[in-house]
Amino acid sequence: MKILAFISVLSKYTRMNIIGNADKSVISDFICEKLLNNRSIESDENLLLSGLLDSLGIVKLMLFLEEKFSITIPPQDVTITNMASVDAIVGYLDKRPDHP
Amino acid sequence: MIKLLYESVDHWAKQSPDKEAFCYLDQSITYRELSHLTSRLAGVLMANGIKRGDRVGVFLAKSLESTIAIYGIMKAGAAFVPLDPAASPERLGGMINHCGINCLISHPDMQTKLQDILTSFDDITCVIGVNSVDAPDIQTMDWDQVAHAPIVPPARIIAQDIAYIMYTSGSTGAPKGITHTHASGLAYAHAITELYDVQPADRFGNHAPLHFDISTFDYFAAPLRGATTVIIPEPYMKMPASLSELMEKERLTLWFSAPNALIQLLLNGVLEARDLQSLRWVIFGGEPFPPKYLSALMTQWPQARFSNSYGPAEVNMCSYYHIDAPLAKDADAIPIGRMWDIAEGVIVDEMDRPVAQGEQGELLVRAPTRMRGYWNAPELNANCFYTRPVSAGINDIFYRTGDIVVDAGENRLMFLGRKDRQIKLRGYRIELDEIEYVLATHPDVEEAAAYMIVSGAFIEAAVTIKTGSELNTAALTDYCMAKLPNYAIPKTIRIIEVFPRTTSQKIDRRVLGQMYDGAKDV
Repeated sequence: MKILAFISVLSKYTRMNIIGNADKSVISDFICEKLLNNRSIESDENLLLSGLLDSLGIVKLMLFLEEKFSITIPPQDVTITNMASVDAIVGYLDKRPDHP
Repeated sequence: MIKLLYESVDHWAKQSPDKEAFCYLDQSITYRELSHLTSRLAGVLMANGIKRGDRVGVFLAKSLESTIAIYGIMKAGAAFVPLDPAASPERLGGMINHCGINCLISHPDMQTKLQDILTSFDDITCVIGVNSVDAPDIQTMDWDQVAHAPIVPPARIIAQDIAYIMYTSGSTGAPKGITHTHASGLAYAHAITELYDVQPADRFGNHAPLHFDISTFDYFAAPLRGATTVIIPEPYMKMPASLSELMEKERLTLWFSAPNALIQLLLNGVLEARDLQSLRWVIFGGEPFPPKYLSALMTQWPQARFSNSYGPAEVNMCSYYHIDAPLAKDADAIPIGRMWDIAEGVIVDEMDRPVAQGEQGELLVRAPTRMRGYWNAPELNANCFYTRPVSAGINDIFYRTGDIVVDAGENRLMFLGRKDRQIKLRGYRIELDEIEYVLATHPDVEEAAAYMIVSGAFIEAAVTIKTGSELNTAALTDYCMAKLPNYAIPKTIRIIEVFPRTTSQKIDRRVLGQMYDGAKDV
């Protein structure tokens, strides 16, 4: 039983990780190409407090996430913490109850 | 007795040296640190040739450095000029040339944009706050070096010397530099701290960026009373849920912003989950606050008092209206209230004759908070003041606000609209004529008109283009982005065949606004 539970946890972890990585590059590419004029970014690089994204960029990013992942991001989730970096965004998407 | 703006900081550095003067995220600066750092910066500026009456540009995002910059510049005897970090290099260059700036204060975070300015304009000889720039013959000194520079006494200036210049959009396309003195800035700080009974224990939430004139409330009024200002980082302005969280955590007691920020907090700020009991005054200004939202916010924060603060940047502020009773269900506008005790307001008709009580007219304002004039703009200065004779050669000087108001009695002035076509959007002042002027400078544009879509409170523009031209909306928007501040860029620009016209053959902008109200973007 213990082994089964372990495998189940492991497979869940692996699945999330794969999706996470795919999400990660989709989001990074969008930010890099559409918002930052092809400047590349690290996945843990701070997007907001560093001033990298201006207010228009933040709005565009929200719209992109909603459209790309067919989700609605409620106002209480649009926060400095959830949107801090590509890693933070992926973490937020994973945490959502509607994540596949 | 505090006679110059920066003396507030030095005064509180003696009274309560370890008190936090400004905070930004997890950083803060005490009054003593601020006093010392600004004296060091002043020394650096003076060593670079800055003297009384000079203009120094502040090219910084919201940060602790911005407060060090403005007080350091004033201690050097110069006037600070906030430069909007989001503006295009072209527009910034226009301001830099217009008021003859040759020294900037900046930060490595701004390096890319800074470089754009330096590449396009060669008037700058000195940049403080960065390690180096990629341009010849420019002196630089980073913030660490500033922190180790010697403390020097401030330059000798008097209260009538200039202290700051705020740029706003002008109707010919050239920005207007509203020039204030230490006396006018300090008269404002004294009056507003008295009006809202500011105490050292107060904590201000600085929402407005430095280039937006209501930021002087946070930057001048708080230090006058030894209070603390919490500078709100830019990204929070688009994230009301984080903003309300920060307001709660920082236990803000005073808030002053344009209504739009408060509406966003109300709609998306999850206020029901926040404890904002500490708020004692919520002040708004810059544009009318829709009563339905104001009413809901008053219900949300029953312990706070709400106040409408009115005044063009040219006079800082001049009237107020405290809202002490729930709004009537059918209330259609919040009064701008009564004139400050230190100000006189006169309402005049087209011929400058005072109107009868209850009749509408332009508001003229006389107050010690009035600007010295517009920088380097003789024509504007010749027309923006009204003089009332007192005796031979002695006149009262009033600023012509261009605002149409009516005195509804019981200390209730009501704002009715702009005399010309200057509008206010999210607190920013925009001249529709400036947008048209910019569009019309495009070689392929024949005629241009900018107009408000009243139901959505945004700007649109329409143009006719030369036959055979392949100009499109996107190219026109790009063109505007290079020449106008972000907030003045039309939401959509329509390329049309023919303009509706009035009987006198002028473009009928009112009809345009109605025609496209509710129409799809292009």
